[in-house]
Amino acid sequence: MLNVRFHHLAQLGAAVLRPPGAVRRRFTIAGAIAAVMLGGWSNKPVEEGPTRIVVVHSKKAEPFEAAESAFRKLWRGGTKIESLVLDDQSASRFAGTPNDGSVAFVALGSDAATRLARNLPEAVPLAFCMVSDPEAAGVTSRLNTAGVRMDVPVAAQVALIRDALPDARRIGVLFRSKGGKGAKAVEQLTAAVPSGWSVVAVELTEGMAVADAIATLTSSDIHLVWTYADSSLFDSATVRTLLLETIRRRIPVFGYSTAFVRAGALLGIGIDPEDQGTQAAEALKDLLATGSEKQPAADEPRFSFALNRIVAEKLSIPLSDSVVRRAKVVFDGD
Amino acid sequence: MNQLKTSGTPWRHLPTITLLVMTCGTTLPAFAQHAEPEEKADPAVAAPAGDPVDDLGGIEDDLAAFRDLPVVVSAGRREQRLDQSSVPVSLVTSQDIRYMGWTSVPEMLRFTPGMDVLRLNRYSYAVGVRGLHDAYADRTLTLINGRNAGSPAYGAADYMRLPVLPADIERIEIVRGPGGAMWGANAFNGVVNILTTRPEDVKGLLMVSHLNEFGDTYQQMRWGGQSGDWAWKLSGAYEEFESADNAIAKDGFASTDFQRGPTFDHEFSYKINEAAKLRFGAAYSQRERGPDEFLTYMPTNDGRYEQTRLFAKLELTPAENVSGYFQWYGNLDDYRSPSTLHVDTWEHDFETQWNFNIGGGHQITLGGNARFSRVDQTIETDQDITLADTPYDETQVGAFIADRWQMTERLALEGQLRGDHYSGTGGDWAGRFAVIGQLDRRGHHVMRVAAAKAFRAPTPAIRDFVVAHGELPSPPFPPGIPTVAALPPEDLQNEELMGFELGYTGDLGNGFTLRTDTYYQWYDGLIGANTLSARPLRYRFENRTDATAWGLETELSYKRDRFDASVWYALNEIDLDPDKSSTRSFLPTKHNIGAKIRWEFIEDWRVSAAYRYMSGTNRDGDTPDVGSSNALDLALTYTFAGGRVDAQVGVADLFDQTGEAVAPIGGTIADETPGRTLFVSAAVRF
Repeated sequence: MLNVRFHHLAQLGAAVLRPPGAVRRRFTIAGAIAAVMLGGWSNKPVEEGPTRIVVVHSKKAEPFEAAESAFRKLWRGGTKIESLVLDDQSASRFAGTPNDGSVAFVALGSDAATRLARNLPEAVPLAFCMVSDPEAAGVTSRLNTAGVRMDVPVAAQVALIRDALPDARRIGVLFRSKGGKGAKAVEQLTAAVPSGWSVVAVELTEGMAVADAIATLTSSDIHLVWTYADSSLFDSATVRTLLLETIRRRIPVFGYSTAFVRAGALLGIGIDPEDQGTQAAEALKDLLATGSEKQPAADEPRFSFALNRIVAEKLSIPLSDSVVRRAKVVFDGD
Repeated sequence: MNQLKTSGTPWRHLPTITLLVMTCGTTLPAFAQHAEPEEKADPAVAAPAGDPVDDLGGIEDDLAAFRDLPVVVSAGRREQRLDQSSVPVSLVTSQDIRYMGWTSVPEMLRFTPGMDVLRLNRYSYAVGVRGLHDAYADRTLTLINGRNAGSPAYGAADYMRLPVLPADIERIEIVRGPGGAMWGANAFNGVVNILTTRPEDVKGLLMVSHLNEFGDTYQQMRWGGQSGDWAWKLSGAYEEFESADNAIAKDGFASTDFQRGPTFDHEFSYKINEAAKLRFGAAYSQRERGPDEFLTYMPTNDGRYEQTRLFAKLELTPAENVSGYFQWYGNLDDYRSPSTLHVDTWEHDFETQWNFNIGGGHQITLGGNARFSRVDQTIETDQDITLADTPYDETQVGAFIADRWQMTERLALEGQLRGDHYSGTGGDWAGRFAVIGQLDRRGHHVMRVAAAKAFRAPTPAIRDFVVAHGELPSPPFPPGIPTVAALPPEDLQNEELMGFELGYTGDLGNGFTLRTDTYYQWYDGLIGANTLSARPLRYRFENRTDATAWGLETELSYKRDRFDASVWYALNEIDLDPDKSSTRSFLPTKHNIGAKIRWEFIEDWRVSAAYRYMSGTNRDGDTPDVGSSNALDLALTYTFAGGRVDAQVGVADLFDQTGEAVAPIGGTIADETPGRTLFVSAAVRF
């Protein structure tokens, strides 16, 4: 687990990558340096605030448990931290929460975030993390709410692509429009690519074979396939088919997770659930410090950059040393 | 030129026309983009009373970033690219099938380099890789998803009866030449492996309807879905071919080569965990056909043929560099030609295959199988045709090992070795050794040199082939002497093949790819008919023909944006020893030229064309040649409603040159078939 101090230093660097218009935060660079120099910021117990924090998991899953563990490590002190998994009885329990400031909630995952945002009294502080789309989950429209999103800004992803593949101009994307997530992703990508670039989007419609859609995409003259986290589209079979076809056609893939890069994408981003838990703790502390007037905010996540040098070698794509050095995770051959 | 003779009963096509209209009619709501019903929340986390129902399904997206994915590319387990395969391979893709409107596998294979395809009648084709083809071409190994699709009696597949549905075909891989160990026993002249879509790759409803000007129809419906760890694909079709005499108006022309019947192909998968998946399925086809000639005897009743294919496969990935499977499959075939014969076969195959990366660039594959089969024949005629009619049981066991050794970044060696033992014929072995080298660092130019050995064990239909038909007039002949007789074969041995190959694949840049393969092969002991006397006709199957064959297959393809084209040439020469000796088959066509184009010239509008020139085919022995022909298929497809609907019109055999009457080997009746054929087709996806 990363030391909290290095987390702050990493944030300073990450701030450089943050695109303009990022969600505002009260955590300034000067404040960060001061906090580091003072030392023990991470270890300073919370003297005021709730006596009880309830961490609600959307379901039983290892990433949520890792996020809670990181949250607990950052939140040391006298506060009692409880943990529960969302069930069909939760709604009535949440609605009856006293809004006297004695209890705060932390939502892990979209389902917990949605349920808590809907049922908690508005005066009850709510933090969240591990939420792929906070707007859709309804947490960003609630007061007394702060947290961290999981979707890495597309502009940051495009910047990585530009650095690793300077000649790339045409980006392909496979999407499913049902549910709206895919169309939104294509829209974000189109807005994020620089002038002179183009986006080739192929929709996987109902009844269409995945292999056909992938064949259509990869037979277009594209320089890279960009992917986004959509469980209804990218299951193991689709990922495998996509990687095999793109390898065959010598088209690199940008993966939405470290596992995707490990599987065969050339490069991609990775989210650490412990980082999410840590950021949720920071967001909650921030929220409690600013009081109930604070506007809801969803911070951008800390993320890592992953590279697969085996794929680079296979596709004969030279990667500069500077790009490789920036990568936190590099998959290499034996 | 053949004149179209319209059917006297147009009402019989009303169901098909109605289905076409319904199919088009259902596109209107899809085109209008009606709102889809909201998904209901999972009752386990249902919103309390008073809260609006909404989609709470974001969990899977939340966890998607952390889900482990199977490694496709690793240092030790490199997926083999087509251009780095140790065997020359041609492909027919699902897009080829979709945009050409093909509804039968032989028509899909006709335009592929390395394939020889002759239409014998409406429901029978002679299909083979690099020739040696006939209605039952036992020198080409046919597989469906890697499982044997040939009859245990004849060692070959009847393509028009296979329970495979065109819209479910993901691709067809054609291995040209001795296939090597990993394809299975008897991968002799080549392998045709039909790969179908998996349940997890298809979701929703698909409806296809196809109709041509002669009234041939094909309709298919498929439903695919997924729920949790389960996925399914339920697919069914009905097809009907009119007999040729209903399509060709000629005085005195009569044929009975109609075919009709349903086909089903259902498959399921269950993900046990990240390292294990279970697949199982059942496929069935039933065909009614007009009577076909059997050794100069013409039965008087229609035939009924049923084929059932079952399988269960457990796929395992116990470790990162280890993968494998256990599989059982069972094929049951019931061939009933009333007033001739009834052939009932079954086979059960148990097999396993394991892939390992043991380090040092070695990728090892080990496998084996045991197959049990039975052939049961019953004669159903009063025409004195006699066959060996006792139940025939056979066991085959085989094992193989293959090693692909990536010696350096640019050089790989691949060795395959297989041994098989048949209870009826004994043991034999097959193997392949190849050197694959990248000529440049980026792998744009790859060369391959290979040597291979394969064998073909004689099938029960050949080993125990005894026929006595008719009777010579008495007097003057003594009573009881048959007019035609095949004497029992004596000690038939396996047919053997050895070959050398040289291949090149080049990415020429700007979307151009060139593939060239040359080969030189020796055949030893091909089984053919030795005519012992002409009158009365007496013959016996023997290992009597040796041959040398050589050839060249070259293909230049171009892909750019919405344009996809290829042009190819294949030369296939063969010398028989003795000259004009029998091989029980058609010989390879010498000169072949082909081309394919698919062009989306306006958004959603695609024109597709496939062309094939064949210089003519020799039959074995000294019987007349089959003439040259040019075949051109065209199709225009309009895709709309967000890609959900295909509307297609087209013409098969525009030049009207593939209808020449061709009799199968050993047959005397040649059926002319309709050449130029207009068709319409529609496909709707929900």
